[in-house]
Parts: sequence; C-alpha cells; structure tokens
Amino acid sequence: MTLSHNDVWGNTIQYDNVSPGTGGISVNPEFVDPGNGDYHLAADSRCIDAGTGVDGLYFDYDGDRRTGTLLDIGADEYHMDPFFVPLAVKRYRP
Amino acid sequence: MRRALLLGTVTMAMGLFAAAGWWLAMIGTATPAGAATLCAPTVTYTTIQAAINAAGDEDTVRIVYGTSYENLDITEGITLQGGWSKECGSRTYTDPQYTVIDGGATDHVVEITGGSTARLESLTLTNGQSQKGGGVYVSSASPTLNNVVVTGNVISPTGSSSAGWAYGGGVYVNKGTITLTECDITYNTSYPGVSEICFGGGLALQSEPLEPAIAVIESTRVMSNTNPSDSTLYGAGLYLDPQSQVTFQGTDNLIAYNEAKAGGGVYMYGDVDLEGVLISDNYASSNGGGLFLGSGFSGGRIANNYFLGNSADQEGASICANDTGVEIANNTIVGDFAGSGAGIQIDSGGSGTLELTETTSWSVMPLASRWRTCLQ
Repeated sequence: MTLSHNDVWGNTIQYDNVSPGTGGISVNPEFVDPGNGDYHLAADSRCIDAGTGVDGLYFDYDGDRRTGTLLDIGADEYHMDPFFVPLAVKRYRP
Repeated sequence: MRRALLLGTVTMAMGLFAAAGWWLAMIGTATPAGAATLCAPTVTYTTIQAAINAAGDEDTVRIVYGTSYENLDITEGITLQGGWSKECGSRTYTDPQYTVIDGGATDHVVEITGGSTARLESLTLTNGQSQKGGGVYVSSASPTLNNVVVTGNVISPTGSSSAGWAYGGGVYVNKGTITLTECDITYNTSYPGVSEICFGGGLALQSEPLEPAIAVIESTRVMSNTNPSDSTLYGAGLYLDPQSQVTFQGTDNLIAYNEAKAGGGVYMYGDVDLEGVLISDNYASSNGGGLFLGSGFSGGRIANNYFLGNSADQEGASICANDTGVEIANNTIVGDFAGSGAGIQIDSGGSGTLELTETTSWSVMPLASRWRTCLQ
C-alpha cells in the first residue's frame, strides 16, 4: 500500500503502522460550513493545490474540472466564485 | 379518341387511389404498436398483470391509484404508470405513495426479464420476498424506474452454500442495465434471524462473466436498509459484484443510514469504480461502516466521494479495504467512528498495491490508517 498527498487531521492517532508518504499533511481542511453540511473547501484551505492530480480523474464531485499542475486534496476542487470582467468590445465597422 | 382518353384518365386515377391506399396501408403498418394505452384494474383488465399480458412493446399500462396485491412479470418494453383515476380518466397523482403494489411476501413484486426495456413510473413496490430481488428482479433486461419507491421488501437465503445466498432486498440486477431516476430504495432488509449470507439490502448488482450488471443512478436515495437481528447482511445499501458497473449522475444521490454486518453503505470489490456519491451515517456491526472492499480483484478506483459520519463497531469506520490494488483517491472523509480500530482500515494481508491518495480524512476518532486484518 502506498499513501501520498493526503490530509489526515483530527484523529486520536493520525497514522498507525503506515507512513504518510509523499506530500502528506495534517491540517484542518477548512471546509466552508461543515456544521451545515457544506464540505466544499474554503478559500484559505491548505488542501487547495496540495495534490498533484490523479491520472484520468478530470472532474470533481460537483462536476467541476480539475485543471492545472497542482490540484486539491479531497472530493472538491476549489473554484473561485465567478465574477464579471467587463470587456472592452470594439464593434466592427466596415 | 376522347373515350380512350377518358378511360385512360379513369384508369390512371384508379391507379393513384390504389397507390394511395397502398401507402396508407404502409403507414398503418408502420405505426408503432406503442400507441395502445390500457387501464387496470378495471372491468376489462381486472388485474395489472392481465393488462400487461395484453400489452405489447411501447404500450402503456395506466394503473388506478390505490393498493394492488400482485406479483408482476414483465417481458415487453411497456410503460407502467401509476396515479390514474378510476377508469383512467385523468392522472390524479404523480406521487408514488398513492399507487402501491404489494407482493404479499410471496415473490418479487416485479420481475423484468426477456430483454424488456420497461419503464415504471410513480409506483411504490412493497412487501416482496425472494432469494433474489425482493422488490424488483431484473435479469437480461434494461428497465428504467422513474419516481418509484422500493420499500419494505425482504431477501431470504435458501441455504448456506453460495447457491443459497440472497441478493438485493430492494432491487436485484443480473445481466442487464437498470436506470434509476428520482427513486427511493428504503427500509428493505434481509430475513431476520438467519445466519446465511445476504448481499445488498437496497440494491445488488450480480454480474456474470463478460456480462456485467450495470446501474445508472440519478437523484436517488438508498436509505435505511437494514440487517435485522444482526443477520449476515453485507452491503446494506449497495452490493456490487466483481465486474459490475455503477454510474452516479449529478450531485444528489445518497447512500445513508443503512446498517449491515459488513459494508454498511457499500460492499464491493476492487475491480469496480465507485465515484461521485455521498455515503453518510451508515453502520456496520463488524467492519466497514461506509464501505467494505472485498478481496481478490483489482484495478478499480474509489474517487470523488464524500464519506460523512459512518461508523463500525470494529475496524474501518469509513473504509475497510483489502489491499488488492485499488486506487482510493480524492475522497473527503469526515467524522467517522470505529469501536476498536481505524477510520480507514487497510488489510495488510493482500498482495496488491493499494494507493490512498489526495484524500482528506478528518475523523472524530480513532485512527486514520492502520494495517490489520479487514474481516467481514
């Protein structure tokens, strides 16, 4: 068995008879609102960009795309809320 | 000459009419048999099965709301639609609770075979009892259940050898594809007080060599399927045979509050992919509260799942996995509880190379990972 890039935190003993492996961390994953069932990663979560991606796993639980070289730990890939960027559109005039 | 012209015109006109008639006949022949709509129970069809027997592919059998006590056999690609008023004058209810088919604890409530692509809508299927598929039995067929409740059905093993094991308290699929949309599979159980093995309190997929059993699941809850009197039920929510395939679509599927001896939420093997589902608050009286991964197969992936608040009296509150070369990746695991062992328990006795990667494990207690035997 091999372990890598897991966040194991808040357990009485984090690991027993097994090593964390490459990239293992032990920090509060910082969910958005776990008390009300929202286990998406908050913006300041250390799980963001703490993984390297898994071959063939291109989307997260919500169907959001996992993109980039550094990917998030857990079922959710963090995405910033989309915001509107005004574009300077130059109208074509023949 | 004029007479000949007239005769010729009449002959040509007759020919056109004849051709038109032929085409009309062809159109009539080409009309799908599915145009027929039948109603049951009525004076014409005193039972739902009588209407099913009279229906052909693509026909619809409308079912008058109320409770019917029947065990249905379906071999055609028909639609069964509940919620109709007396004589099916209007559709009174789409809520499945108003149209109940009670199997009388004698057989499956519904058996679908023979290549059927049947569609069942707005029905509650209850009080079935069988060795395989207490509520719904599917073999060599590909039905769709939409807005159907499968509840209060029982599987009953017939012996201690593998031939006598029982599968699928709510739904059993063997050699076929079932599509479940907006369904509830709830409160199905194994027969109380028996020590013989039962698999899949809610749903069981049993595959044959080169003939996988397949489930496509959307907006469906598999909840509160249980193991009475601590019988030997493995996979109270789902049981997935080797080679089985399950696809969860969307984000509102739920496997919750199921209780088994091993594999409270899911019991499966290492060559099956389990992706994109919420597995919460399930319980195992031995090991694998959320998921029990059996031995002997490899190559599958358990990914993008949430495991929340699962528990086991012994090992592997969230996951109890045999080390068989499966990849456990990108899961979020929170708040599990194991009576005497780990949150994630990996059996070190396996010969595979299980990978646990990119997973968040935030457990209440006790351990995150530990190598010990992962018993059923």
